[in-house]
Amino acid sequence: MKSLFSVLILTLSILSFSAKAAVWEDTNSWSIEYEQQFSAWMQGPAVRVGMFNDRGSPYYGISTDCADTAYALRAVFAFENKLPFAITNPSGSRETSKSLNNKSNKFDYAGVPAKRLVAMITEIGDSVGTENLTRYDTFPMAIKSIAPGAIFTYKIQARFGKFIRHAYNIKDVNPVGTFDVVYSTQANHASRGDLLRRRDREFENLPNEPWGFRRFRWPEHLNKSLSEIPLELGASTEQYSLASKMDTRSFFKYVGKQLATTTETPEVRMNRIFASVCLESQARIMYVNEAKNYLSQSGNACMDYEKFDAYSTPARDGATKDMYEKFQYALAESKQLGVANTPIVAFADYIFNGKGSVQAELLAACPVEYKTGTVIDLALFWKRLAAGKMSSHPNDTVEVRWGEKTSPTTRCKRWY
Amino acid sequence: MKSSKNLRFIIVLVIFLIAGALILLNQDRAPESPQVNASPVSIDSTPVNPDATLAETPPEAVTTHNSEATKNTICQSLKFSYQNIEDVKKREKVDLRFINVHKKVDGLVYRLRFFYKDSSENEIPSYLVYKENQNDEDILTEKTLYKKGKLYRNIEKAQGEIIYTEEGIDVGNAQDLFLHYENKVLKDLQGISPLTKEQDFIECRF
Repeated sequence: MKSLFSVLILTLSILSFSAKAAVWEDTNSWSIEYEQQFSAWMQGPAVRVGMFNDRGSPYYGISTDCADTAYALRAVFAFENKLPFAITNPSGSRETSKSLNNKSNKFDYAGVPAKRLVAMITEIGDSVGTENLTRYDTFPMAIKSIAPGAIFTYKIQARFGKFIRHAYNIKDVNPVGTFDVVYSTQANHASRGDLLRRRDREFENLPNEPWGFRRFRWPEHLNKSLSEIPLELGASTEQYSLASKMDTRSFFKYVGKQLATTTETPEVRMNRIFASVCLESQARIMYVNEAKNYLSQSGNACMDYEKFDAYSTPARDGATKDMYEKFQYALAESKQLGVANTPIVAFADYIFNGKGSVQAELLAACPVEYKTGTVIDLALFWKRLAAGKMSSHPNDTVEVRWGEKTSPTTRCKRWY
Repeated sequence: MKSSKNLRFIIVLVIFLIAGALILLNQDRAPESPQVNASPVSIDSTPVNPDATLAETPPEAVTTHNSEATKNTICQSLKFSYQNIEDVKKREKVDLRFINVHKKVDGLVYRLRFFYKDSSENEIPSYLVYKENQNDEDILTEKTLYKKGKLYRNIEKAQGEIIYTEEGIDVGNAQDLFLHYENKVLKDLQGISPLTKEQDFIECRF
């Protein structure tokens, strides 16, 4: 009886101890060395698209959209290295609750430390957007300080005065000064997909304060002005001064040159942009099919505002168009520089000028099969996109979405 | 006479000693530069690409900063113009970016939060309710997108005492000045000042 009582006391003691556990105990402090380790970790194999989705991963169950991904990656690194993690408390900084941090014991219910971390990240995901990330928890950085682990956030004005915001996590800076990024989206979050990755991203949106290249604040730097952040961390507003005086193409060309470790030949640049154009063109198949699948479940009902948000593609189509225009510009530049007529240059000439007879090769290089048995090449894709024939309305038929037909269009409301 | 000279010497000496001690004390109390835990290694700021030094660095690529004094003056004028959130709301086109309201209802504290989530094509209004536990920790209790949830509406309507508010709003012609208030007091602002011709970004904390 006595020993049973002792066991009971011991069990209760353990339970009461674990009931007051921090998400994790931080025994280290942020330093330049840890920032460099964070950079190396971002660059390495630990940060991969399946890191939150693989059942064997300790972080299985984390589901993020764009801003949440940045928070999640930073929190996981802090957790693994026993570093403090804190963000401005999204629910309000009243008295003692100035920040949401790893010392909180409100996630005890989740169990072991890794699960408490997942619970904390999930709550952060529910509570913040890119505005928190950009305005409160990160600071702008000098261009030469951009390294793996940095974040690029942007805000653009879309149709009807609406704003679209997004965040990319820089996994690596490619030798030519472009970016290998991991990120997520609201749609990806909803479908609980793997993180998304683009290995060769050139950004298209000029930094516009406070949006742009940014780095996480250390907990002790929350709510501090930029001048109070140690110089060693590379805090700077130079990107904004530059961006205000340059066009988008010149700005990112300048950034690329600052970060590049090799010089990119025009031929290599053409190959790279072609690969990106192909990837984005093919990605549209998935966006349109998501809407198609939803419509098949809903009996083709007109989409309400929320569903229209989820399944329409005006901004994404606009971004794809921008990418084609970049390819077109690169072609013009290549011609000016007298670049030899490589296969990719020939493809570009065919896509934009209808010159040459490389249709079969282009189709083989980048087929866009948007419907079983219907495959188009990038020339036809561009022709339809540039002519405004591709519909972004999710209630339109697949044929109208892809510009194969221009009627009959849907009578459902276009919300924006 | 001699003793009066000695006395003056002693007084001067004491004054010097006190002054010296005060200087030392103040050095101890002077604001420290933030703890960096940094080794002397700083982030490399030299161009990694030898060609980069040859890149056409535009002559404009020089960061221009307002001097601290000018910045303070602008910050004070902005504070004067925007210190009263109710006046600002009446006077200007305001875009509410987020609001947190902490409300005591029947002895329990609820935190209502409204903000925007991001999507590929739009921004999504999001409504959250947190309930505080005995340790004043906010426990997320309800989350809804686009529309206020049932608990959110109930707490909003309920009789109770608002003990804290926090709001972030965008103002200005291009909605590019962000103002952040806590309990109706302007805490910080970020953006383009409509009060100056110069369209430089400014960040002020009060």
